[in-house]
Amino acid sequence: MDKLQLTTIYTGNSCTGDAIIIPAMPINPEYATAYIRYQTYGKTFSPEEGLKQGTIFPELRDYWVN
Amino acid sequence: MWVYDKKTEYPINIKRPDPRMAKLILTQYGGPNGELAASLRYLSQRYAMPNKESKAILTDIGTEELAHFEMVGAMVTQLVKDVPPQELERMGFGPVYAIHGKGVYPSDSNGVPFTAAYIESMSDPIANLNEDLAAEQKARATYEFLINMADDPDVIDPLRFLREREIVHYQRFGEALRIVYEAMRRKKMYYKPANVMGMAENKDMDNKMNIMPNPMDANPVSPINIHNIPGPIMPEVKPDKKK
Amino acid sequence: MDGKNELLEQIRALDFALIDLNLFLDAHPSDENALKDFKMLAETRQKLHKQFTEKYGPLRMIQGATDDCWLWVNDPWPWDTMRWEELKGGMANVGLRQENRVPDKY
Repeated sequence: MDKLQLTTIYTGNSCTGDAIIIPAMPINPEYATAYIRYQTYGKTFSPEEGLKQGTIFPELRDYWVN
Repeated sequence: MWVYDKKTEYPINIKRPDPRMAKLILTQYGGPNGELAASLRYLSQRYAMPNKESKAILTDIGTEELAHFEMVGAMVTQLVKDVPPQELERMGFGPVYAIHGKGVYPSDSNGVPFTAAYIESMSDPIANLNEDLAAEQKARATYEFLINMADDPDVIDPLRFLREREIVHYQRFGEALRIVYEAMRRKKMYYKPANVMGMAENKDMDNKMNIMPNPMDANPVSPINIHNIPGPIMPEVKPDKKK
Repeated sequence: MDGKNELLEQIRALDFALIDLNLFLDAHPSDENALKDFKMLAETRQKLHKQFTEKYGPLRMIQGATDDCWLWVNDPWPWDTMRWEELKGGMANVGLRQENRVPDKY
């Protein structure tokens, strides 16, 4: 991860209320806690290509060969 | 409530019947790692979730799993369509045919009927979400086992699609878990009360016990804020005014 | 029935992109780029859905009625498909004939 990737979650409805910043990975991880890297929006596949691939997000594409 | 779109999420158009695969794929219809278990699990868990993002994620993924349930059912019924009973029995579908004919019945590929014992739904969001993460990995692995045994592209393409969806769902549940940890569960901070009972300051003990400096101090130090991000909202803890 | 499959596949792809974006937005409700893309795809989808319903019949039950007939019940349903007998002509083509047998795997 080159630059700091952040997502904002709001405690209230309609993006109001307190703003909680969630980084892609936590800076001070806790014990006994599982962390999944938080995705940030980038390029997407076209809808047709996305349907073929199974997702419109190239970073979530897991190429598995049986 | 639910709205039905008269199309499958991914096209299912199996031209060559294959009763052997029909029996195997049935596990993703009514088996432990299957789509029915997934949708009932997520749609049941959403009622007890404390935050709106988790409710949305569980509802929407549960709905998509119902669409996958339809896809798997469509595959099973197409795989046995117009196959004579002798051929069904030769390919291993005989026991299923004896009980259900060519009907699609929610069971696993051993014929064990579906049971809610495959799922859990608690009022603990962390337990729920970790179960959901595990469920998505089990589904992904099961699709890999099925793809290993399949040979028809008309069957493999939908299975590959479903496998990739499980990976995406895993990512979303992971994000839901992050929201629960970071936006819902505020970090417990221990504030050092000012000069409790006349005890001398013990910096080693403070470090060992993860004591934070008193927020009444002039320059409070937050260990999280090294990049100067507007950090998580701290709980309102008023330090004791005992002297 | 020429354009029906093509239009249906376009709608299917758009609906899928919208589903995937829906899940992303559930976890990122204030992401402006994702919101922009979602609105654009939803608008296109509305247009194509309207075209499909007018020409080929309802995809949702709410559009199922015409003046003289309830079109919602019409075939095909999503799991129905063209099979060998329709492709090659006749029931005799499906079953024990050698070229149509499923290859032995054991």
